[in-house]
Amino acid sequence: MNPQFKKGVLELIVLESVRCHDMYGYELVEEVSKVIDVNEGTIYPLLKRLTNEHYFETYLKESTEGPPRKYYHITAPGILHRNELEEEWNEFSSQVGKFLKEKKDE
Amino acid sequence: MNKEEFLSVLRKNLSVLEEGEINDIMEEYEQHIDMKMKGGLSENDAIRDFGDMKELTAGILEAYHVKADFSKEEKKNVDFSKVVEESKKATTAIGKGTSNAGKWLGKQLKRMWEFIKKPFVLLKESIQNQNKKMQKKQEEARNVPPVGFFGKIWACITGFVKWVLTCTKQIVNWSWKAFKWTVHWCWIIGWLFILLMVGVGTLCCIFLFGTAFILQLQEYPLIGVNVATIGALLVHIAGILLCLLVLKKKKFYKVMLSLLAGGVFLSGIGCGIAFGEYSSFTYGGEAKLPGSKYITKTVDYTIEADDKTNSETSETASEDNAEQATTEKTYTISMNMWSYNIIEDESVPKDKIRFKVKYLTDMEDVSPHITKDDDTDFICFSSGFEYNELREIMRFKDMLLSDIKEHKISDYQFDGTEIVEIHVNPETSIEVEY
Repeated sequence: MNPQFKKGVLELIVLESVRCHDMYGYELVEEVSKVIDVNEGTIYPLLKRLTNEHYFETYLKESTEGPPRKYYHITAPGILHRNELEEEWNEFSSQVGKFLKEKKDE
Repeated sequence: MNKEEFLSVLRKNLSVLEEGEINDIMEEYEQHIDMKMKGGLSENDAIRDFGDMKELTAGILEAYHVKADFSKEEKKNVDFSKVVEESKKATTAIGKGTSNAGKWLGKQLKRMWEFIKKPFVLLKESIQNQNKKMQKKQEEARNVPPVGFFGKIWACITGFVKWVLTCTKQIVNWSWKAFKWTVHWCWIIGWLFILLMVGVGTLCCIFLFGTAFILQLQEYPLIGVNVATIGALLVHIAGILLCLLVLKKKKFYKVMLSLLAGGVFLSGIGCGIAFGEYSSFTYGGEAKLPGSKYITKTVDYTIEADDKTNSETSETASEDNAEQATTEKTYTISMNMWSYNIIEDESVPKDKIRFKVKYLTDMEDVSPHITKDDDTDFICFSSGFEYNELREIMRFKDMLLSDIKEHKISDYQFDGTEIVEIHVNPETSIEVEY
């Protein structure tokens, strides 16, 4: 898949994943990898940015193995942002789909 | 590359960022690698999964809205400074100084940005908190538990009414949907049917055009028909386009309308030409089939003596005028055709009946048969002409087609027995039945 396409929707996928339930970094990487093939390294900075923009809150939680994990939790603005993105995405994909279909039919 | 090396290289590459941020990221990556290793991957594989180091760094920096090019420059500077460090200390100091100055400037800018941003962020948060509180209040208001006996009954009634309302709404919604669905499909099926008809029509037009075109080449007057067929074809294609337009919602109104107009126009022209062609046909007069001519055959039938005696014996029943009865004897002729004339002719002997038959034919060897039927005592006449329909049609067809080429239609005389004349002496009495 075109990496430019991925970059755009990655944020939406991450927001949606965390909205369903709180996750820690590695878990999230695994979750996202199920949907799109993405370089594992690029998700952390995205998480960091989303946190800086107050779309995510973080908290530490003890795990049975290893050091405490940093969990990400979505905030209200995060949900709003996610809805905005979803709307944008839907409109975008439907517009593109419509355009392609029209061209094909001509 | 092991974990320590990876992390140190990454730290160096991300040195533009704030210390706290870098530490945060380092922690995450370290944990990630650890977990991968726990999952069974080797240290090297876990790191290899991150892909190219440059790309990774660029990706991270991009997420912080820092231009990726900057990282490369930074890296070059570092490398350069390293080289210089080994050769000249003075330049090292300058290099370090510039890079430090860059870092410091970046940090200061960021701090300023944070400072400017702070009130807005706080405002945003407070608004959000307000919204949350409002939402909670609303929810609470909705879920106020009913108080007292009447309150409960009231809640029941309102609940029931609400339920009925939602149900009716749902039912109306569904029936409206079903209605829409039905109309939609009727519409589609109707248009598909029209499409089928028009499609068949198109094929017919093509077929007709092919036939007429070849006949045209063979000099038949079919220019009008050809043009009209092309017109009809265009109209049919316009019909197909109209169907597609409705069914597939495509936009080719212009093509369709111009096809339709062109088709109707061509059909009109075709009809005009055809009218001209066929009204110029003339009457070709009476025409005999090729080779046919009139031939006349005359045959005399002699009334035998025992005929007379027979009739005499048969007439013995009448007691008086036996002699007269003999002369008054009526002979019955049975004709196998209905067109005949009886002519009284004194030149014919009394005991003879003369048959004159006129044939239209191309065959010479036809002549009538006259026989006596012993059972009924009738004289049976047969013209002897045998009519072969297939042969006649084939001869007629040739003639008709060649006439059409010459723009005329004639009064075609088919072969057959034209007329039979029965000549008898006035004193001989006969009776004819068909």
